[in-house]
Amino acid sequence: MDDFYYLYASLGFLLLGAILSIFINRKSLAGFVSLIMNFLFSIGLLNFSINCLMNNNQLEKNLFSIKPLLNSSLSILVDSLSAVFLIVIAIVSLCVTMFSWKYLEVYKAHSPRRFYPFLMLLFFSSVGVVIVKDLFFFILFWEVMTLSSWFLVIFEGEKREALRGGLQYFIATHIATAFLILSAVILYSYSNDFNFTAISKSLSDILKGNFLLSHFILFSLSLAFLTKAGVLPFGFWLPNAYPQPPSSASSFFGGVMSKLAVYALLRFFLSVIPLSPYTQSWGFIIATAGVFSIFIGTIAALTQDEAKRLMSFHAIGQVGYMLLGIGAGLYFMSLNQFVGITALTGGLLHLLNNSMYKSLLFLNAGSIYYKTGTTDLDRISGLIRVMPLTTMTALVGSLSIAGVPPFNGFVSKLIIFESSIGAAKVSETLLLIKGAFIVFGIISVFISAITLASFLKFFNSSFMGKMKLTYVERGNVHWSMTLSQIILALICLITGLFPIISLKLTYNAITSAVNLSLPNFSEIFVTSFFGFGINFCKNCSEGGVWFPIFVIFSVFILSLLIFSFERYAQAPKREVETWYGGKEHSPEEVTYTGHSFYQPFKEMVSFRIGKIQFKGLYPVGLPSFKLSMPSWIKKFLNPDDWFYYPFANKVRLVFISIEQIYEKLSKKYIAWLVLGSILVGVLVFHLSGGKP
Amino acid sequence: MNWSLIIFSSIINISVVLLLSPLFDGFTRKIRAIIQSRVGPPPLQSYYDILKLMGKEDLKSTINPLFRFSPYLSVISIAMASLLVPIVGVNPPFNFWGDIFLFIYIITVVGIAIIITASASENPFAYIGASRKMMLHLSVEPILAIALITGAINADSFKIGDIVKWYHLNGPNVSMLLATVCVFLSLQALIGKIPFDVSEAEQEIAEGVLIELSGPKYACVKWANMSKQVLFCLVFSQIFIPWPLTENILLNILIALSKVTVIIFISTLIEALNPRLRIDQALKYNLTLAGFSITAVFLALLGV
Repeated sequence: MDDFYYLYASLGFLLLGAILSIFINRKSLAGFVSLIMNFLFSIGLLNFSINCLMNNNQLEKNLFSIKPLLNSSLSILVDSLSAVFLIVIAIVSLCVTMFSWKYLEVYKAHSPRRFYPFLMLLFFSSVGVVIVKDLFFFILFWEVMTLSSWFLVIFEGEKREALRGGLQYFIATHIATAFLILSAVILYSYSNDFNFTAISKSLSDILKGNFLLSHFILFSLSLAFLTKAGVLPFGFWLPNAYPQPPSSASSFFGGVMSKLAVYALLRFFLSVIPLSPYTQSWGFIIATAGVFSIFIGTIAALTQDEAKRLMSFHAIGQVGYMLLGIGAGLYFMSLNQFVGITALTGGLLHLLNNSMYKSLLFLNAGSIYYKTGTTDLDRISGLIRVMPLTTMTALVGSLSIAGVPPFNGFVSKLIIFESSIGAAKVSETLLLIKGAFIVFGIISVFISAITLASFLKFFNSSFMGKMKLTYVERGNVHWSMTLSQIILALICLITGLFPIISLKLTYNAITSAVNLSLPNFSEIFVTSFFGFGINFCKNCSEGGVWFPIFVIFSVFILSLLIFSFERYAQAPKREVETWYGGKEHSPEEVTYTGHSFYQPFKEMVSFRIGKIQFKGLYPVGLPSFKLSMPSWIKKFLNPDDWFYYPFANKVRLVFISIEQIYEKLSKKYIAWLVLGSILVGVLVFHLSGGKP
Repeated sequence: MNWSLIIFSSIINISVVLLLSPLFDGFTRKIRAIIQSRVGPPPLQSYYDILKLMGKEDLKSTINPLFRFSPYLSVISIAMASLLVPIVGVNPPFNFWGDIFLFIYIITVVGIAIIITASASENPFAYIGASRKMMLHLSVEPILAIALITGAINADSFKIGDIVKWYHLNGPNVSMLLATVCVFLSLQALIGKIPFDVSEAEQEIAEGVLIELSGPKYACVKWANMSKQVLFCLVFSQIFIPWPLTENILLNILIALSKVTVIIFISTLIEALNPRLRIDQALKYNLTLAGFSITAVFLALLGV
């Protein structure tokens, strides 16, 4: 009995859940079966990964190899970095399935068979991506992940936007995967083995000799992962694709799937590609791309009036923070290990925190959709009266993503800001690069305020204000949906108040992935139970500190003072109507909708260049190609009509026919059995040469 | 860690920012009255106002629970921000608690508290005020952040105590002077007084964010606004002009109080002699200033 037992068992439960949910057509039953299977999966995976983290060891195993075909074998490597991601997958997937159980009833016309199997397959392939140690199987799992998520994007296949978003997602990610495969083929031609260690060896040879080739390999790897992570300008597909699936699936997309691209980036740049000037320059490029998408993505999010689309733009912006941390870390790793490792830790910590609050916020949007049938911020308001717990969790999520202390977003953003501005201390760097990193830090501080603005808009226009009376008839939000949100909100709060646990986890994850001698944890982070301080060089006093526990003390003491003051004053209370300046209005007449928020600022960042309208620095309504092209090119450039819709319809028909086969199967089971046994009998009779 | 000093200095900080703020407000009202050739209220009038409002009827236009809590949060967060400003010496009382980013974010929490109060009150005027307040905040926050980051680059540390210590020892250089000027130019916007009081413009949107507040809640938000004025004047005078600083604690407190009085006087002059800006003008002013103040960071990088 080895350590992998729990892993196998949990993956087995997941596959069992996927297979069982194919056969069940009743939504609540399918949801319940998937929930049970996912619960067992999460328990097993948590047990496995916590075991791995506690012992702080690397577990390695070869499962099987396909040696005659390719020099590749399915080998598993679980170190702290993988284990951290496994924990995230376990928590988020459990919350997502718990939420889906009742949530899917909103989609009355759709069968759960088109949802749960793909969701389970998505979880399975995510685990696969995190644990494999072989490029061939990595690409295999990566592709399964992309395809299963694509099926979820086109869940509502009759909606034109869903198909469009799905098509963009399909094409963009497959171009990216093509680059990944290209670099894999190049690497295989050098190393003749797909194993990461062999690739790492041959890469160090390539990096020594071939300038152009090594840049090309790093370029195609970065492009593949940055596209999947949704970094602008390659992430143009993300705001169109993420809002389309049911909110629980969007929650896993935004919380985990796009973060797995960041995992891949970390894994390749830390473990596979040896540290060199190449990784340094690509670190700078990654940081620049990150800041670009922080800036454009978040300002574009401010102009959105649809909750899930707003959150999708924030997914772009937030991934930028992680890439800023990781890029700065890669750049400074060889110059000043203290700043480098702090930046890498900050990036990974932000990833962990982000996966919690991002999933939470998408689930909040799902609750709103469940209750009201829309996520358009202009059409909803005052939901705190019907869903108070969801409101509170949404407030926690909004404040976390904006990085307000003492929630978890603050911890990681603090480390990213300080390590990015800490570039000033690295004396070996060019002045221009130092300045660039400091400007990156300042931009991310500024954008943090914009994030707050756009989430206060989401919060205020959906939960606050007068409630419109049209949507009270809908059923109440089920306790399982609320519970999954409360779990995530509590994690946000606790990891914010006690950052030391997650900080230590991420630090160990980074050090286990890098094969260099690095400064000790206690040399960089001066920690106690209450918080931490950061040292930016050896033997110097701590540069930045954050002890969240004092927030509780001060808030407690001061609230006690002020509430006792109010009690002493004993002001009488009375309920009154809202005052509209002396006029009688119905609430609908004077509602301040989500679209009206920040109008002057939105006008400042909206402009027009030539024929392209920019709204929040993000192009909307790109001009179509209708200059002087023959019609067949236009037809070709619009693959929706000649390729995609027929193809998607065919896929749906295949599903319908499979569905019918299942239905007929049970009735004609005995007939099949008889026919089959006759066939087998004939075959055996034939093989034995006519002699019984 | 000297706990008795920490407790003593935090009590001093909180009482200067919270308890003395109505007195400073009375001072500004008197100056404004003199400028406008009126007699003006007695200097303790703001205390009377707050005490009176505390006992007044509390009108609730909504059943939203956040409406009950968030006005108090604004006062609490100002008190917590005051713990990060040095008054009795070089170090702020809670120097070990957090650094410049914590300070920036606690100021943000003050804004969040008032915005949530406004939007919970369900009044469209309050919504307009909240929207304006957020825009004003996101345009003015970068200026303070850039100025503090300039100090952090100069001092090689993100802690406010270290920045003040460095500044006090080494005297002003070009980058810090530029940062100081930028913070001074954004002081009115930080406080939220004329010409930047767009979120509470009485004549346009009937006090905006405060429209539905009454009784103790109104007293709290009013108190928070008064304390905010003292807090930002303290930030400017103690972090960006940390001279003179002596060994004697009582003398330091006196010096700090007199510096704050001078700065509040200047700020009141600006308030009394200027018209209100429109929100788009305010945004343009602040963002231009923020872009300009990045120069200070580059100068700090060059070491001047």
